[in-house]
Amino acid sequence: MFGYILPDKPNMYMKDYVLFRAYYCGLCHATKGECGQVARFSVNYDMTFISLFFHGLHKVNTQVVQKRCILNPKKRPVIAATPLMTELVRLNLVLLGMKLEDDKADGEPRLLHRMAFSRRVKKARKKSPAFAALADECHARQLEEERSGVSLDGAAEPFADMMRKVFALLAGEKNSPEVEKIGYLLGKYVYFTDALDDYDEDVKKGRFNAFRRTFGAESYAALKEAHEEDIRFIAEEIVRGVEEAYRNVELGDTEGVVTNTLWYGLRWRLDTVLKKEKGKCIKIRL
Amino acid sequence: MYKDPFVVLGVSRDATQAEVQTAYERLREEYRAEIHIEGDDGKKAAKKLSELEEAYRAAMEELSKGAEVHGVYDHIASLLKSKRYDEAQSALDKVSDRGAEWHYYQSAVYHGKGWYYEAKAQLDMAISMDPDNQKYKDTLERMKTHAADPMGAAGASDAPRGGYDTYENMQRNTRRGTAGDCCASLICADCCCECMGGDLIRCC
Repeated sequence: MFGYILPDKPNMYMKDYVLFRAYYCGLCHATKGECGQVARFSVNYDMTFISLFFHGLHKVNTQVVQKRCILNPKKRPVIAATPLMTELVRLNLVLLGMKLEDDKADGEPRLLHRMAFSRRVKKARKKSPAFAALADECHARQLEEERSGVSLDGAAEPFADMMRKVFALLAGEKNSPEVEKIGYLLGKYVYFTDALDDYDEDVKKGRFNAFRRTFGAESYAALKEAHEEDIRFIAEEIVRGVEEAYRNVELGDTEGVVTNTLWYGLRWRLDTVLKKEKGKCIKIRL
Repeated sequence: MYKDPFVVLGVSRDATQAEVQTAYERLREEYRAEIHIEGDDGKKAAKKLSELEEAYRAAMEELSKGAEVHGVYDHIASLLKSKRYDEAQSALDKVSDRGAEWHYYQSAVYHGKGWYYEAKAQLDMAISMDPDNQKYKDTLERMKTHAADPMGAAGASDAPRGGYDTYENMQRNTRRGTAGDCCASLICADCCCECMGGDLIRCC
């Protein structure tokens, strides 16, 4: 369920690109500090966005340090770990644990992943019981929904609602209905794009897919052929809803990256999913 | 034989309860005066009087029911305005008579909650039940053009933010697919090279 909220790089200012990368690397380094080397593989763009959003919302005074990375011998500007970032590292691992549970329920044990991460996930859950409780609730509601739900929007509700609560927690005293709405709609966006992206695989393996339950198409191509208008309608409404809510949210110096991501990035990423282009940039770690 | 109570009373369907009341009282006086005439005229008046009583009762009942239903929807509309969607939903759940208007408000609740697919389905249902209603059609049009609040006014458009123009303006001003893709490929290549220790674009 990750890798869907990212900036539209071709239409990004260089300063924002550098900032985005510094936050990405910052999250990675913070992960190492908090949960060890292996956990660094869990770092993703969605969490980087959340980090940018909340550092901007709280107007955190961040420090930039020059650090080296295993992947690159050149020193790069990296945002030094903040308490908020440590919090996000844990959230990321809790969500990863939830995803592994989901996969297990779908009949994919992913033993290697579990072996690598389970200890770290457990540790993160212990340190952030609030996130762990939200993830468990979401997981349970999702299973229930897959068994007895009926509607397309209902299928996305558990995950979207969890994201709303996560955003509310992270926003703390800066919370507002708008921040919650952004969290909710982004959760929905991620859930739907993920369901579209995995459509063929879900059909093949007989896994639950919200779009399949509603539209019943046998393949992604058939789904697109018959219902692309509906899908685009939903997606565009979600993006508009995010824009509408974002209008009243004031951010600090990460505003550029967040604006680029919310205004352009969501649409661009959805387009790549709808066209089934595996965007080449996405595969490459920054 | 069934007679439309509003026709018997000689008032329009949009009449208020007070108007029905005065029409009823006027006709009743009239018939009561005639009832004492001997012969057919008197019998006719007596029959009309009983018809009138029946019509009055039926009209008042219909009006009070209508007022109640309207009251519910007014209440729901005010809940929607203050974005209390859960309360609006439970108010809607209590309405048993689910006509086109009900589906319209259900659509509004779904839209507010962010259930966009269901919102459109409900609005489509309202339109199929009442195809001539202009309010529904306008709302659908606004929903299709992604107005922020299709049930209300058109949304304001954004000013540039963080140095970025709105998506629409950006689309208009950049020829995507030419320079954009080329640039993207270069940046991708740069990412690749940097991973391997090289550097294609010097500045990043």
